[in-house]
Amino acid sequence: MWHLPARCTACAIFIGLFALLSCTSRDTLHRIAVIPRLSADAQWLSLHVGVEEEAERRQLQPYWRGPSGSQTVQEQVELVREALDSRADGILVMPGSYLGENRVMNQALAKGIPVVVLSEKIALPANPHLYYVLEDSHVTGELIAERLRATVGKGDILLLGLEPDVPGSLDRSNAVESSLRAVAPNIHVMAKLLRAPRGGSQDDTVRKMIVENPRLKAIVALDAGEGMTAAAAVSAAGAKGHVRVIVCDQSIDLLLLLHSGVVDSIVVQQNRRMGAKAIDDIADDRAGRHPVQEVTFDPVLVTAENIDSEPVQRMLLMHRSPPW
Amino acid sequence: MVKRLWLAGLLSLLAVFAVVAASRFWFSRSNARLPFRDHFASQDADGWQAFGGTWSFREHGVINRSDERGAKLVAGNEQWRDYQIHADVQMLGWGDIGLLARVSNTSVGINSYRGYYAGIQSRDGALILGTANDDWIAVEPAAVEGGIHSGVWYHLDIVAVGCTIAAHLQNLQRGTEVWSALHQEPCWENGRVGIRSLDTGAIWKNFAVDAATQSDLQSMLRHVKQVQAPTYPSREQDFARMVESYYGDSATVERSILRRQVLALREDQSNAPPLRSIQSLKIEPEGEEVRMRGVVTLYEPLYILDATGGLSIQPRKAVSLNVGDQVEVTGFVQKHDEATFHADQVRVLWDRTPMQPISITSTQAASGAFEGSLVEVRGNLSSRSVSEDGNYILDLQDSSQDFRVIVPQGLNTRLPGEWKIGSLLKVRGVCTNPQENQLKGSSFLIHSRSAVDIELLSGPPWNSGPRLYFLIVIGLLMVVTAIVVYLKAERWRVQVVSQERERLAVEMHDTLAQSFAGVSFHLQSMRKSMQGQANIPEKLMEKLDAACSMTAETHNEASDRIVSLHPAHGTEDLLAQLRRSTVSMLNGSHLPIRTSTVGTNRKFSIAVRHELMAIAREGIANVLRHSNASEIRFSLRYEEKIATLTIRDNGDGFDVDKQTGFGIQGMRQRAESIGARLEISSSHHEGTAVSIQTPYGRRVSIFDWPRSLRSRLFPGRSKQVL
Repeated sequence: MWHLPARCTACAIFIGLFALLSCTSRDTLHRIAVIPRLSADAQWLSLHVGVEEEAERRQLQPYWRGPSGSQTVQEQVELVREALDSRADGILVMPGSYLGENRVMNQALAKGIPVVVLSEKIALPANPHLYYVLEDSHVTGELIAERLRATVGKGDILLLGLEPDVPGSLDRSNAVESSLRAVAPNIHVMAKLLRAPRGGSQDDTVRKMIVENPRLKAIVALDAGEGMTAAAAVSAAGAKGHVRVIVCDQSIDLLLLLHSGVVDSIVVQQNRRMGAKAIDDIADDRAGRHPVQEVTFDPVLVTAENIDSEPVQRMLLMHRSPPW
Repeated sequence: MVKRLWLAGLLSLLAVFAVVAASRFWFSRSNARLPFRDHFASQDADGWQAFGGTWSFREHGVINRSDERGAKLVAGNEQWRDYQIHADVQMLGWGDIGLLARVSNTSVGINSYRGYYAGIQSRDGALILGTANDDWIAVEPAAVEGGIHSGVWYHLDIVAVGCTIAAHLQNLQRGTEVWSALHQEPCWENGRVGIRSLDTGAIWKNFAVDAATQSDLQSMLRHVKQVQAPTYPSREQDFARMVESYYGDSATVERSILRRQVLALREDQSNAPPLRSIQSLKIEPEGEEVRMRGVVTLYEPLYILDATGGLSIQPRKAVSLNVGDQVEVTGFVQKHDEATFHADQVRVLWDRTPMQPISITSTQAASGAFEGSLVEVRGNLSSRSVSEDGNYILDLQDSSQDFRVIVPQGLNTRLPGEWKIGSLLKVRGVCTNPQENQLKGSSFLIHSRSAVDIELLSGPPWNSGPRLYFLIVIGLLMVVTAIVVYLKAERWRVQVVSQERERLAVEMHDTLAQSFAGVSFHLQSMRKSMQGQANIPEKLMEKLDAACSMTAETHNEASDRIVSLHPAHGTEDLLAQLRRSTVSMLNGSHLPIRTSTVGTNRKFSIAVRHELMAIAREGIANVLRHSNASEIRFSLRYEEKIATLTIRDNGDGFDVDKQTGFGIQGMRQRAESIGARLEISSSHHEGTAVSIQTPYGRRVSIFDWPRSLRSRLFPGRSKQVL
């Protein structure tokens, strides 16, 4: 019935079809999912540069998917899950909460997929495939305190945008306060405002505080969104030049406002280097090497005086995906 | 044979390729053809696919009432290449809205698509044009004289020919026009069409797509100062200079950026009534003028939500709002049992503050504690229908509560196919606990914003409804297939057994029987040659006679066995074969043989026939050896399920009870092996009757497989009659 050539024919057809389907199912390059807290902003455009440069060098293929808002942890969870489902070879993520993404990230780690957490540590148990590329919050605090000492000297400041649930927010706030005590004891934190859960009214609140408190000399915004709130309030109160705005993390609009003088300074993370290091960690992990699991990068204070300098411009390099 | 298999293999491969190619082609195209028109006059939204947003149809337009970042609605055919899109657009807030061309890889998100986008942007007051690939790179915005304003109608055109994309915008109120174009190689060559909004609600009307040619493109390019390549300076310095060049100076940039931020701060509120929370409304005295702030969570009916709860609002004057707008509501406290607050003034304070729903259980929702709140609840779909006004009515239930979900009309004029009865759904929307007459037996109502708020978590359980019938049919088909395969295999086995028997018969005939014939011949020759000699001892002759006799008997026995093994034997009448066998055993002696048959001749199975013949031969041998009979009779009675073969003689007879010989014991064992019953009746001087009642044995049938299975599982417990 079944002669050898006939069996060979059937096997050849089967193998051919299998090979055909296999060829179309996956790219040859290893795919790395990069999931920021919020997509499409200057911070991430700089991260892009480092990620793309290193990915090209290490023969990896990053792809970018960010949630539509900084507070949409669920979207971020789904993006990590999508990365898992699409069998990504590595995940680079800046989590929007301490605990929200833990389950899905644990699942990735359990599958041996290297996960790099950017910026701040979160509550994940130690794992040989888990890496942290962190900012140094203490340095952030020192830079802000030193800037306030040099420009304000004495008076009150406002800490804006505390988010206890968001990794790094309280660390930054605490670092600013402790550094102020050490470096500029004449500067007092007048108030600390939580990040407004629904935006909007925060502008009005800050504007009123500026108008009602002449001793208020500066507003320290703990993230880029609150930086815009601070800038809007200062502008609306007509206090440009009188109340300084210092912001943690950059956005395109904040950088433009730094040029115009509404924003005094921005504490910029070295996202380019951080992105490159994250890709390095993933590539090394995949190669069976074991890089250091926790690396910290110092942020840099960018002001109107140094923004045009070459080192800062190199740090702020931005990159958008080419269309193909 | 081999050639045929090669050919069959090749044809199969080609067939697979053809099916795959046809499937890809079929799924990559929709039925949409150019020209494509949608005036949104009907509620038919089959061709449109939503990615985020809160979409509905009103007044011959499609509306998105959401401040969502990057809500998209996509239609058309992915194979469309060169075409032009025309539409009238109106912004309902502050953000940017526009048209998508050559779109693919679309998903929910800000720039989650590949393709081109042309739109109007409030902040820049300009026509923007660029390309997206999960990112956004644009050409210089083309400033619109007088800026871009909410509530004003604009006409927007895009022409895509080759790798050049041109856009045209006209303010339909003032008549001012502006153009922009980009060229980039390589480019997105084909894709669908769509509409998109960012940070604001909007209306689109008169959406049309036509094929485009170079002349269409050139007629637009005539107005464009410069066809640009989309760029994005990588150096911050260059980017800042580029933006400044767009606006003129940094002060204008600053104003542009912060313009929106101060939107909420423009009005003097010194004489405003006191600001109250929504919950506190319940304890405010009637007639008190109050002011509340909240975020719009639902547009129709209008609901706002603050940190203390939600509230239904009925504005006294029409107001254009989007889901996600933060509003300030002013009005007088009415009767406390009034569910809706009649607002004298509704003012937009801020936009882009979309609320995230709170995930709660159905019992929490039913408690009333989440009245007016944006919630997320899970439940199994128990029924679905479409109301007279076109809304979906979904009845859901879980282990605790029954509840109802109302999904507004718009893109949802047909129930999505995946919402099957029994499916587990996650629904988002505003939770309300209305009067009993509105609940129709449910514990609470969920007003969802659009079909996008309904998420399918899992389909119906496998054992529900038609799926169960389907599985039963599949199961039955599989059983039938297994039985057919079993029958084929068994018949094949029987055929092989038959062939083997034939081979054995031939072998026996060619070897054993012929050898015996040869030995017999030689013994007979010896006997004949020795018969004439006088000095041959008598005892030697006796032994020679015995040897001749034994050889002849054995030859006859072998011949019978060969006959019974041969397939042709199955076709011979049983009684005729018995007669022939008896004659052979008589070896020339005379004994009258009578046969009789009652009933219609039927076939026995090979096994039954074989055993019957063996039993009968043993019986005949006993008759010939011991009975001194003068006659032997064979009768065969065919009945419906059994046949009875009787061998009767008129000899001496014997005492059946005292017979313990191996012959009768063997006969009984053979009878048992085929499920037959052997009866022997005899008495002295009245002859003997041996009667065998036997089933016919069966061909392999569908009922054999359980018996076969049983015999394999419990060997020895079952009898198999073949």
